[in-house]
Amino acid sequence: MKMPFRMCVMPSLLLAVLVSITGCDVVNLKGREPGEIPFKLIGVDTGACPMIMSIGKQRWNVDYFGFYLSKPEVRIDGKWQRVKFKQTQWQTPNEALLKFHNKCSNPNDANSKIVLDVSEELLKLSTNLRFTMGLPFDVNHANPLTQPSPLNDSSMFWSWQNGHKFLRLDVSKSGEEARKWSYHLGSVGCNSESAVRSPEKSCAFTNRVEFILPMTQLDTDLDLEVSVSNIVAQVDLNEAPSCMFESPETEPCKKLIQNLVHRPWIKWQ
Amino acid sequence: MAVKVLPQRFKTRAPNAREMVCSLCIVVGGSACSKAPTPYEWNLPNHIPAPTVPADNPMTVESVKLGEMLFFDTALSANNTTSCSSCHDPEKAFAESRKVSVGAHGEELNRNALALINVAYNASFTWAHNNLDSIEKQLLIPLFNEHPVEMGVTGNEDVILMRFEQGDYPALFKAAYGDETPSVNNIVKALASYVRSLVSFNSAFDAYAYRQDDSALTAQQLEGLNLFFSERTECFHCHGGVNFTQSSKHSFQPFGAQPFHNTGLYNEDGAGSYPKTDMGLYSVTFNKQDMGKFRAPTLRNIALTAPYMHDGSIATLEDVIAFYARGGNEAQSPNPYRSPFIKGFSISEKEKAALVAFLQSLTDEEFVEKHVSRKNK
Ligand code: HEC
Ligand code: HEC
Repeated sequence: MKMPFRMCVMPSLLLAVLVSITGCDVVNLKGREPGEIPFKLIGVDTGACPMIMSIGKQRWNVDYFGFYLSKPEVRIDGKWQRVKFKQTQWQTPNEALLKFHNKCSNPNDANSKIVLDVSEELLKLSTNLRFTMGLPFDVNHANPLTQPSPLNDSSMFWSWQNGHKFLRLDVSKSGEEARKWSYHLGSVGCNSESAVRSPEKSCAFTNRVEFILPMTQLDTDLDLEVSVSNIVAQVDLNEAPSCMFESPETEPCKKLIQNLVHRPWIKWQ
Repeated sequence: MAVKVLPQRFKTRAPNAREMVCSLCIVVGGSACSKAPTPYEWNLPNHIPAPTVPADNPMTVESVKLGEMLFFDTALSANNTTSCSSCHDPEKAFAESRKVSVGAHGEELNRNALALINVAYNASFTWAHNNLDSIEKQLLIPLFNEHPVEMGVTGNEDVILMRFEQGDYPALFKAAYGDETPSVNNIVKALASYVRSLVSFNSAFDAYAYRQDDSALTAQQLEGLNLFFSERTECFHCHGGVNFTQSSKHSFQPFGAQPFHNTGLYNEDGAGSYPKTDMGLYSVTFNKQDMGKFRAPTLRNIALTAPYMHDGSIATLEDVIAFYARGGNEAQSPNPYRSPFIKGFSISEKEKAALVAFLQSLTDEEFVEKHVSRKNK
């Protein structure tokens, strides 16, 4: 019954990179700072207000979409090496919050990139990039009110689980806005030694997803694509109830987790 | 196609640094800072030990006072409609007479508001959770919950905090935490301190049991007491100890007592299932064994806190007793989760009345009067 939801999604991503290396130049044409990797939503009209996601004929407003990444690592000469995020309002050295926003809400309340605290040279030596979608156990369960930004962003608090949401997607149907659907994911079933101690053991469902992406010398110029439609693939938002983890073993949570693990929803452009 | 948006600085709150500096000066003599907060006195009966208090949130007279102000203030909810006391009414021993609570946006919660009595002694928080390590953590739920909204603080922190930069609040924050600027963390600390201060050990039962006052209980109440502590009704197995709940840290319980039980309130499918909307501890642990398990709550002041059970589904104490006497709901159908202590028993009307009278002897009038008068201040 207890499934560790940890898998790497490498094979399909390898392919994605192979088809996209043409036409790139070693020179960083886009004027990025070293270590910067932009994330780009695909399948979502981000110019619209609100952002619109099309699934078949249906159109859904993306009212909120965000997720945490943590534990960035690069592989050099076959060895994994821990690297840090540059410390900003959106990143601690070990955690980053990606939060996508539409044009009409406060555009400043959004972050669509990670910035690694590394030199361009180091990135060029790297053959892989690895990170985890989710937060480490101790950070997840510490008092969120006293943690540094972005861990103190209350829209990602998950108080009834004594932690944070790792991923949050709230949508409403275009033209029928009262019809809402939400997907909130984080660690659940975290047992503690005693109820008056922080959970010390791991959780029945950690719900972290590890990504291993290939890197070539040319990747310093690429964006990462985030596919919301892959996250909700094969879930009928009209029919399915929301998944906020009242019960992870029932639909649509089960399907959504499979998507997260098996469908390459973050990949190179 | 790509969203090109600029990152904005979050408004980070850094009161902690200031706080630290200030407590430092207090240690070295307090010259530049406000006076050190006054340690809180519990005024507990002799047989009751003081509860454990988190090291990073000591009980002080000032923090309890600030917490009390905040508890009754609707300014704490985004739309200024709802205070903690909207759901936790001191006249009802800090419970409410609604079946289930209603949040600031008018949405119904799944659950009935718990009475706030001797929460400082709880070994667990809410009706069913094994993994909230403090009142401070529990309070994040009503404050930040969005599904449904209870107080609606999420995303509205700045607006709410500004409301506490006026009136008596700056002085109260300064006295409690050495900094007159409010922060969400200090608000939570103060509320937790206030909730901890809500101790109730002065019922007629306490006079009889702990102060040896033989006249404190009527003959009928004594009959009810004996029924309560009998193997026939089994009440004391789950509602035992000085707090009438096993989920208590100082209740001298047998070691390893499990504080969560399935009382058989529901049996949806003849296989013990609870309604999907609330499966108790199972919804937190996802362990089938925990289906329909809830904490046996304290029975202190129970006469004031109707309706009963986690969803307010039982209206009166008479009905609660009838529920236990018939061995839970759907007792004829198989239910692998129902506690072995819920096995049904026969009870006469006279005995039922006696048991109710005993439960009424658990009301602490002094406690209620004290807090009602403070609310009305
Ligand atoms: C909308 C109604 C509502 C509001 C507002 C509310 N509560 Fe509650 N409170 C509840 C309900 C319902 C429960 C039971 C929750 C559960 O079991 O999941 C509860 C439980 C609690 C508990 C746990 C008690 C125990 O014995 O475990 C505490 C402590 C508490 N509330 C304090 C507060 C404070 C302090 C505030 C103000 C910040 C507050 N509540 C605001 C409805 C509310
Ligand atoms: C197997 C353990 C167990 C036994 C035995 C038991 N209770 Fe309970 N009691 C509980 C639990 C658990 C709850 C909460 C159930 C829920 O909310 O679904 C509860 C709830 C109650 C409530 C409602 C509390 C509130 O705040 O709403 C009352 C009153 C009560 N019990 C009285 C009694 C009496 C009287 C007896 C003996 C006839 C008894 N109980 C026997 C476990 C038990």
